[in-house]
Amino acid sequence: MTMNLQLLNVGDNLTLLQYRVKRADLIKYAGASLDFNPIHYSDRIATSVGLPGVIAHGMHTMGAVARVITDHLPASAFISSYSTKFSNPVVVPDDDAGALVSVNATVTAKEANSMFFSIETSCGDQKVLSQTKLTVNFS
Amino acid sequence: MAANLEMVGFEYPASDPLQVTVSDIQNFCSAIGDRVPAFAKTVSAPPTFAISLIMQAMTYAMNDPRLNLDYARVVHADQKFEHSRSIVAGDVLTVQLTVADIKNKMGNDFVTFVSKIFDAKNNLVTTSSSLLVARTEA
Repeated sequence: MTMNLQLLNVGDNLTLLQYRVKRADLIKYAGASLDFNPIHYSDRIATSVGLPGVIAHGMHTMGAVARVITDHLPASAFISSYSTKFSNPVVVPDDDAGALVSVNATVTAKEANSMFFSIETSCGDQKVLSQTKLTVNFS
Repeated sequence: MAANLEMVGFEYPASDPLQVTVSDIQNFCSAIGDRVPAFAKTVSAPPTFAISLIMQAMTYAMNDPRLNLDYARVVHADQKFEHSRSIVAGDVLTVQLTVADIKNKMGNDFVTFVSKIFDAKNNLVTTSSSLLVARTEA
């Protein structure tokens, strides 16, 4: 269900977003983003560089996570700023369940035409993104 | 293997104009589980779509022998986007990539690429800053 973002106040949380990411999503993302690094589809290559297995593109996670806000974005608004650090990889198993990612966003500040959010993203008990900040421009 | 510090400030030639299509945006949305905009008058791209435009220039730079980056060991550490508007279907955009910073610390290379995306009227649409780390062999 869509929320009216501008009715939120500083300190309010948005609706929790949870999504599953499976191997097929990474194949689609590689094609759509032109990032064909084999650590995102080959266990053989991922483990050879010291990873536990195939991992999601950091940019896939950053893209999917923004939905916690953009799912509620009116057509006249746009994201003027979006930044994150990638702190831990999302390991994507070769099964039908994939990895479950949980996303929480909080309003940190409001101005006449802008709203500022901080976002927390975890997979299992690990934070996968850190210092994630997003600004919506409503002008 | 250490990245070449003399490349700091190096500007790659601007990309050829890239035409953004409805299907480019739909495919990207589908891949991140986003609502696929199909019937909107203006199909606008999600905030990280810009990376698909930048990736070609960044992949070229990461493999540029002058930069001397160990591409196989590169991880993405930090990403920032500043947008002056949403990218929309129909945009014709060019990408200008600069090597903004290189640091060698403890044998790891920290390389920051700044990419600017301009529209057909030469207005700045997006500034992207990507910090990539090439980890040393353990």
